[in-house]
Amino acid sequence: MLAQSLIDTKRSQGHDIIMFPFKHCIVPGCPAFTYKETDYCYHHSPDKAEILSEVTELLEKGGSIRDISLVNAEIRGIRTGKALDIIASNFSFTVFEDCVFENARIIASFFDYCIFSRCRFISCDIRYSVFAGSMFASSSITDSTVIHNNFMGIEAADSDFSSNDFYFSSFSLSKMQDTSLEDCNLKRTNFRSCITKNVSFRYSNPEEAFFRKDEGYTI
Amino acid sequence: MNIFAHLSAERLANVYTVADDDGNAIIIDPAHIDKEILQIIEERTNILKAVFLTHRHVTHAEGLGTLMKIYQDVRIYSASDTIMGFPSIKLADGDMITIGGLCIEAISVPGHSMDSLVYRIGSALFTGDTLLAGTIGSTKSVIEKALLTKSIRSKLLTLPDNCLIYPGHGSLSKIRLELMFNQDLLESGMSVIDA
Repeated sequence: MLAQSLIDTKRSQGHDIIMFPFKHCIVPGCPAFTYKETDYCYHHSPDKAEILSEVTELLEKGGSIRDISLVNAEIRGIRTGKALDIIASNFSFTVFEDCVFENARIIASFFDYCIFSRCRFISCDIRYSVFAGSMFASSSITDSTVIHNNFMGIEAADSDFSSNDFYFSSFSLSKMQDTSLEDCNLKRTNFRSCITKNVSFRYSNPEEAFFRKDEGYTI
Repeated sequence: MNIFAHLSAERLANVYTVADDDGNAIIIDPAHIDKEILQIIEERTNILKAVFLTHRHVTHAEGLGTLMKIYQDVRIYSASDTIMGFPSIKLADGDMITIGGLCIEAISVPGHSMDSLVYRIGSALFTGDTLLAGTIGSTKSVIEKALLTKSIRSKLLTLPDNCLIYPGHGSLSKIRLELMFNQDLLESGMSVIDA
């Protein structure tokens, strides 16, 4: 995986479908997006428990989750089903605990300000997605394609981000401690103003990543 | 509304195809037209109606020539009368264009270039090189940087926190995230409270 990315920088990135409903909760003053095409966001829905149970079931069953917004929820102990696609969905401020995402495809989805505690992403394909501001505690993302994603300001502790392709992803302003980024493709990966303590880049290519502010990044 | 994002490997720029529920489509910043973009237009939309350019830099407009050869009836919208030799409908700050079910608002945010526009469609902001995830567009001088920072602060960061940012380069973001993690804005002395 790493060798292929390094050699073929002009590889096809594919096209990604982003279909976000952009419908806001009807509760006055609530800025949140609605869960699906309903009138209320998850938080103000009268059937919160039902919604959470439905999403949990979808995650475990596999298939396609698309265009949903589940903000500030708590999802615990799930193991995703085979061939799970999470597309254009919003899980901001959600707590994931003891969850396993295996062979999942996560496209254009928002996991900003989430807490991932003891979670594992294994052999996933994650693109155009946002994890900024999230916390990864004793969690891992391994053997995955994680290109073009936003990890700005994440806090990672005792985590494992090894054997991934992080091409064109950004970790700027993040804090990582006791975390491994071994055997990763870091070409065009942005680590500006990133604070690291006991972080290993062994077998990766940090020389192709951006660490300093004065290094040209995108333009 | 459907938004199809495509990373142009030639220019490392994002090309966005936006379509309403009836398949009326626009392209924002045709950096490079390749087979995959054409597949999106032909297979995922019904008709390409217009091209919108955030600014005239070749990195984001080079594909215009190819696109206009194939789709001659497409209208071009930008902040100029002509772009890459093609006539363009000139947009100013606050102009609203309706194409099918898409309502596109032009927001002038000068600094990266003097003709920079950001397009707002619902809660989606197509920011070109003006505002990127964690950074702002490059500028040629300190004055232009100050202008860009001021423009972003007054016109973009005042938008709802939940607005999604679809930049010309790099990954997606949200206004909320830029308020907290945009290094250039933080260094310019702007804080969340200021915004």
